[in-house]
Amino acid sequence: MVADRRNFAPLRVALWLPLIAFVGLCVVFFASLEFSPRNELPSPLIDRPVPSFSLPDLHSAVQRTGDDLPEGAFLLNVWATWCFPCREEHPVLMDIAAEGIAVVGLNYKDEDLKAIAWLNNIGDPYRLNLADHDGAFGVDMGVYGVPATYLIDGDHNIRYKHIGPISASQWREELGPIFETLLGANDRA
Amino acid sequence: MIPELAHFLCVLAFTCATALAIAGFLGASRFQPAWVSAAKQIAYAQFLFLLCSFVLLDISFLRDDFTVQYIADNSNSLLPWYYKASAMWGDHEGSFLLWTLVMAGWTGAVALRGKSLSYEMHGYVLGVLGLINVAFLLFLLSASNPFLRAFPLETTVGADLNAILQDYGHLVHPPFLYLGYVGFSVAFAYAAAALLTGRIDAAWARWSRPWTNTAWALLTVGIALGSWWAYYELGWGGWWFWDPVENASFMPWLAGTALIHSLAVTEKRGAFKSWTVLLALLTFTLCLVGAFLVRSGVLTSVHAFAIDPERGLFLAVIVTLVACLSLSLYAFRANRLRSRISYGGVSRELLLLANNVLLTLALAVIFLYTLYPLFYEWITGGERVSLGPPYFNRAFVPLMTMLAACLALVPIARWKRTPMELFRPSLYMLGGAFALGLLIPLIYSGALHLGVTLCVSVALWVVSTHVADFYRSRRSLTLSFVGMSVAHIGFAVTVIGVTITSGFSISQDLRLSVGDEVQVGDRTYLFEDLRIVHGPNYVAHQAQFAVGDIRLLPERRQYTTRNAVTTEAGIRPGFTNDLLVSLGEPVGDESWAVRIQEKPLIRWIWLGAFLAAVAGVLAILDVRYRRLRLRENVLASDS
Repeated sequence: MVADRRNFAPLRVALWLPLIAFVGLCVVFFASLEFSPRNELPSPLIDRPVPSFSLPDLHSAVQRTGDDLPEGAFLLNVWATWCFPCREEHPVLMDIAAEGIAVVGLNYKDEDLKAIAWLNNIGDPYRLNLADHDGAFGVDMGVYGVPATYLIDGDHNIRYKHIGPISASQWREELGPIFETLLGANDRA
Repeated sequence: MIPELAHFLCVLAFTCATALAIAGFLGASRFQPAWVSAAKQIAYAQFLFLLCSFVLLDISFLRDDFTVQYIADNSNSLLPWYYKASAMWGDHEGSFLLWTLVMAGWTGAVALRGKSLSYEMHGYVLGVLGLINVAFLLFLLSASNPFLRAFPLETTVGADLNAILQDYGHLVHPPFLYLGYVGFSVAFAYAAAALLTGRIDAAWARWSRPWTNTAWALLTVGIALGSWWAYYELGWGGWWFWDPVENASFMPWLAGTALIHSLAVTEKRGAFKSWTVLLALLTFTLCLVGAFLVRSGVLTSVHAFAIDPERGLFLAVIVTLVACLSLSLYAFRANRLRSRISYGGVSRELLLLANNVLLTLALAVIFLYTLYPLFYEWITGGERVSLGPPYFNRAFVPLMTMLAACLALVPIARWKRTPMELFRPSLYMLGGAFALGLLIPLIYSGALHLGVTLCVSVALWVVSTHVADFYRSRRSLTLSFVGMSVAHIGFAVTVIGVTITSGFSISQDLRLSVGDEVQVGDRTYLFEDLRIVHGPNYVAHQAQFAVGDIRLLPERRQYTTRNAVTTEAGIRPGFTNDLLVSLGEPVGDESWAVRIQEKPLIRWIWLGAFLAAVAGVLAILDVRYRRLRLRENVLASDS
């Protein structure tokens, strides 16, 4: 029996290996929870410049490029008339625009006439409206749901992406303060 | 009132689980058979409570009770009734309720079928299952409660079920998957109980095998259904994506497959004991790891659930506890296990060892690749990467081809040692299979294709040796032998399907308008018509394509409530070839992006899986298990 035990002694170490490996794994699990995405979605475009584009202006059909974007920080709002939550978001955008903040619209996979009629009916918060008929620029921007809103700084870098309609409280508590810092940074620069 | 009642029943089930764990463990360790009998009754009660709870919540779904938050988030008054019923497991909370119900079901089944076990063993098994139930129910009640009311009332129609889940596949895929996943808890409990009692022998393996086989067969069906569903519902003809969620179900499957085979050696030859126990513990732990990966949001995936860090933390704690407790038990106790056998040359033991090594390697590769983004993120401090299918395929395909080659020798090999001359006929078969394998790429593409030839000829070799053996022993067939042969042939069928589909599918992305005619492969597709059709809760563009007499009707659906778009491929299924047309985005005024595909032998992938699953069930119906159960009954009553 004693001899037996000695024979099996090295085996015992091996038997501990699964446990040790799993403990290591569990450490990684707990650590990875720290990094797990909460509500904001990681976008590969964050802190990158707005992709270059040439899109018709919704109202005049003139081709617009990056040079036509507003000076300083602004909001890029992706919207469409077929998008139900966009209607919900619309009054909030009107309020934001009333504060003097530049809002650029990206009219996404929509019909120009419908979009213009919508703006005439319920108000136009946008300083500039780009018509992305086939959604190609949307792909460049990583749009996969409408509405979506990007916060863009004075150097035209994308700094934040918000998916879904902005509510008044979200603007007040989340996006507004972030936008303030973008504006502030711009003033200093 | 109904959701509150369901909630209350869930709490009752939780108290039952606690009582079950206590009665089981104490009954076994203090030698109190009466406590173990009580534990059985408690297990039945727990299942009954959870079943009622589940049914009641589902009734609330059918009644459109949108005052319940979970129902408001995942159902809609416009849904057909069967999707309302299945919307129940459309998101995290409800699907976890289904998970706990399945867990209670397995526990009840073990209570019912454990007559041949000693009360001590039975007590430990029920105790371990009880503990797992406690953990699951605690998680359900505290961090993912589906019964909570929505205050203030926000909606009167419901946010709708995720559009992709509004499909027949969602009715059947998750239940089968969970039945399989959770079923491995029984093998886990048997292994833990065996370590606690210190008795691991042929009888232990024989008790475990039917449970393991059943869970494995159900998981096989669940995975195959998921793959089939992805194929026709995601609409682009893919059938496997190496997505983290798929891997989460596939890793336990690989471990379970290894376990089935290792159990066979333990039952028949008393070998691999320590390894078998470890596999049984690991298989269920991997199921839990899978649940953690899918439900915590640490990995990004196409079908991840809503993300909540609290849940992730809770699940991480469960995984850690289960893994650490069971593996510590293993570390302390497994050194008592001895396997005393010898075998030489090519023998069944050797082949089964090779099977286990290859499956474990495949498992390790997939595990590392799946978790690689986690490690990477951890080391780099938050950067994200993902590994694509090429990584997985490069490692996985060669391993499976080697596995198939071992498989071909199985019918010939004997236990202990096999006389070499027995292998001679199989070499001729290999020659024949190779000749056929050379021919097949020529038929499909008119050119040689070595990779295809290799995979197909190995698979054909497997079929031929098994069929030959089947014919040779036709007078003395046992169900477990039939089961084994059918399962192996099923594996070969899947290999052939995967190889041919991957090698010779045709796919073309086109831009078409109504009236256009295109040639894809040998067939001409005519875009006949485009119309708008109205479903109960969606509007769809439906295209009509004509291929000879066949009409294919791909759709692009716009679900109104969530504003989600799904692509429903138009498929003409066939035993030898699927034709598939998917309708993409409109391009310009009149044209549409269209993908036209031919998928030869794709049905074989799932056919093989279903064959294997049926075989798994056949094997456990073997008269051997019933006869031995009778004999053990006698022994048990004697002692």
